[in-house]
Amino acid sequence: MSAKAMVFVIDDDPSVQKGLKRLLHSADYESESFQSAAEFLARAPHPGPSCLLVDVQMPGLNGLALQEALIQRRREEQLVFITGHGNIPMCAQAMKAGAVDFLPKPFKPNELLKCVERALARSVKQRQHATEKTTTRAMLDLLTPREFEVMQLVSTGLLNKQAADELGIAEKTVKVHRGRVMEKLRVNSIAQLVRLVEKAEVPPMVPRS
Amino acid sequence: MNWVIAIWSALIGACAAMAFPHLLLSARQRRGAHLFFVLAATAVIGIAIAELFMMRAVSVEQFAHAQQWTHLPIFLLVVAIVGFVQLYFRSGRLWLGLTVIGLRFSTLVINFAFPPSLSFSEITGLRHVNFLGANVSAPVGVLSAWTHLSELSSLVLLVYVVDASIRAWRGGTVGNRQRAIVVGGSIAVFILVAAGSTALIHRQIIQAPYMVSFPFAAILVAMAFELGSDLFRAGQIAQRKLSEASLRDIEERIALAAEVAQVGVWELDVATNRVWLSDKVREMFAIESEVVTYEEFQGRVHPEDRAARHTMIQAAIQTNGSYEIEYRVVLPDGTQCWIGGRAHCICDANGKARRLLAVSMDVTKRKQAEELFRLATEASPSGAVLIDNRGQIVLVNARTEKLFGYRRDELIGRPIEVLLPDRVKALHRGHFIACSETGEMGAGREFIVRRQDGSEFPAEIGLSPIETPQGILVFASVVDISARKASEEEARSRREQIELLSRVSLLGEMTASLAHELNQPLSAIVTNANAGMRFIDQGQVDPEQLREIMVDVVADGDRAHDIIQSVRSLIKKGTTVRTRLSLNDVVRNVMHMVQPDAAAHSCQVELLLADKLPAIDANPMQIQQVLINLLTNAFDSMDDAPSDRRKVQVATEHDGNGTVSVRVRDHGPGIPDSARERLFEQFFTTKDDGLGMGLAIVRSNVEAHGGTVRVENVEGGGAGFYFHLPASNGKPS
Repeated sequence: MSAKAMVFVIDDDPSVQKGLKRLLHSADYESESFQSAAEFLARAPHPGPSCLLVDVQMPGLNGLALQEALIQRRREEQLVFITGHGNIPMCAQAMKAGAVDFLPKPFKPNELLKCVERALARSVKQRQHATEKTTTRAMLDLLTPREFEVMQLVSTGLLNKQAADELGIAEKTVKVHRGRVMEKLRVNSIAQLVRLVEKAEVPPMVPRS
Repeated sequence: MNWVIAIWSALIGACAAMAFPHLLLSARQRRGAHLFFVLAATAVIGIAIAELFMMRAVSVEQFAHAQQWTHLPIFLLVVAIVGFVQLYFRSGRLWLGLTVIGLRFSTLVINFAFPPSLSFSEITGLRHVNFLGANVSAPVGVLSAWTHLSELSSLVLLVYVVDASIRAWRGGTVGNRQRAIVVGGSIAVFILVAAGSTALIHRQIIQAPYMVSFPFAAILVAMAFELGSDLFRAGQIAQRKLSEASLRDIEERIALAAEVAQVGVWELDVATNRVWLSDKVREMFAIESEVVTYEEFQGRVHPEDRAARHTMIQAAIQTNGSYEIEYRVVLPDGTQCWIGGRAHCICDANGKARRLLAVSMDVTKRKQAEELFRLATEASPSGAVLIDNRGQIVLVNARTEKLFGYRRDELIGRPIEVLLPDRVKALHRGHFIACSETGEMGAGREFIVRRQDGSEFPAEIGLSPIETPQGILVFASVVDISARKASEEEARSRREQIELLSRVSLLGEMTASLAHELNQPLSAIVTNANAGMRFIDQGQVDPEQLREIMVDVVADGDRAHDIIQSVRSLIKKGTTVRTRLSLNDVVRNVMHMVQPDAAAHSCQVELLLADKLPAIDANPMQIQQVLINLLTNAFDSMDDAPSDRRKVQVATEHDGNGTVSVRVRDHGPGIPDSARERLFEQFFTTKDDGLGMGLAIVRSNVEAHGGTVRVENVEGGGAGFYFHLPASNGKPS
């Protein structure tokens, strides 16, 4: 959570660019402007929450192509499209690919700012989620393979006996593994364990029966 | 003077009177019958004189002398009668006649050889007989035996006359029979009377003087009557012959004239129902003989025309009139000819038609020409109407019937106005009349005409005057042009629709690019102004910052204004004045406008703009349109091309000789040869949804600037469109 939120404006029209920068400034957003998508891609990804205001029609790589490029690079900037000449297929494509909004020019500044806010919030949330997953995964990495298996089975709601049956080991052994898992993952209840497993997005182990 | 002298004198006078004209006639015409009549009359006069002498004789010598001389005229009378009968009846037996004359001559010889006379061998005295109050002498004596010879000769004469009369009766005509009865009968009767009375007087059975002159005079009267009526008849015949001769002469002349004029003559004898035909008619009807029966003649006439011709001929005969006719003749070999003919009746003295004289001519050629004309007129695809100078319809063809919905007989004789709507009648009539009066040719003119059901349709009517013996007629050909009109109308409306569509689509494109262009400055303005408001609201009023904002707002406002201005001038196409401008600037402007299109087609546009390009004098909007159209086509052409080939190159160049050019090159399939010719034509398109207007506008705009357009397929694929415009004056832009 180190870097602060940034708004990136990508528009080939200098006066629009300038106006947007001013508006963002008036709303206390940090912003940075680019003449083209290529220019933006050349910049290093921003480490903090970020929002992109992208003009769809641009010479060279256009807005939609930029979106595609970002997805390919697994970057998770939130995009708000602005267009002076939009149409429905264009809009649909952008939204499906995860755009926050699609604003026709001339846009209402307040609306634009709300979009930016929403985009940044999403960015924050998304970043948080990503961080949690990372830490949880780090904890899960401490488990032995057997402990991992036990954790998977127990977190799906199986009783110790069932899990033992499943793994072909003694119920007592399962109990021991389970105690270790709870200890290593620093959880006190099965409910907490389940939530943690979900955060880590561990695929559940499907019982054989 | 007593009655006897008076009567006998009258008799003599009458005979002389009868003889005299025949004497003249016989002298002039040398007719034997008349000569013999004169001889007979003279003999009767002699007999009558001798009888007078006998009656007035006072002595036997005187009486005997007179009686003796009486036989001379009697002989002459017999000769005259025989001669008359012989010549007149032409049926007498000559030997019998000569026998009579011989017998009579012998009595005459005996009469003079043995006095006192033939009748008496001796006259003893005279008796005085009271006759008609006068005392006349009669002989008393011994009858001679020769008297019987005299009576024999009279008998033979009687036989001769009766025989001749009977033969004339048998062999003769009505006239001859009448003649035989009247002349022969009377001669026989009176010879009998004369001979009988003489015999009775000789035998003193009746007491009367000789009066044979009276029966002989009666014979004379009969002969004279017959000769007179003959004369009268001869006169009549002569008269008739004369008139018949002149008529025949006229007919011959007619026939001659007819032959010369290739006209045939024929004549129907009403009484015999036979027809005489001239050579020409025989040729025309293919009839061999000169005289045929009426039925044979009629047999050649076409069955359909036969009854009509018969009716006309019979009517002419009944009314003693004439007729004119045209009919067909069917020859034995099956060929048909048209004959035109006229005929009139020739009547007798009673005014009854005796003959029908007719002329006929072969009118086949005329009829065929008429038929050809009729067929040609009928077959004409346009309606034909012939109008006389009173504006009345004389002839129409089948097409006219169809066009107007009238039957032929409903139109003939009606004024032309029936085919015109009420509101234009006066107008049209004037036109038709003018055409017929001035003979001016009327070129095809459009009229509205009316059908029978009242509906109207547009027609093109061509008028041409025709000079005929009946005066100038106007031939009108009528063509229904409603279909043509409709298709013209359709084409016009389609063109209008296309123009509208192209204007709409142009407007659509213009609005789109206008929107795009305007949105940029508007967005900037709104954004800037909003930012300014926020700064003020937040109390961070930095005058310098606010001023910067305002400057930007004003600049964007100006930009929006310029865009609107340029679009307005685009709309007011044609009224804009040309301005000096750089093609490079126009290209750059257009590049902005077509950017959305390029994006939509995923095309890249490369600009190759020449340095120091001379300026042109042009309407920027028109040149813009040229470029937009060329670029739009370029984008469309590459829809099927792989995306890495979707490039359009726009280059400007100048040749240093006052011509500035723009090249728009695509990487599409290029222009097929088949399309190249017509590429710049209106409505020609290779696109499925194209209007065929784009390149037509390109060419018209470029040509309006005195420039040229061309297209070529470029090496390496794709088409290159060039347009060349004259530079204004060579100054660099």
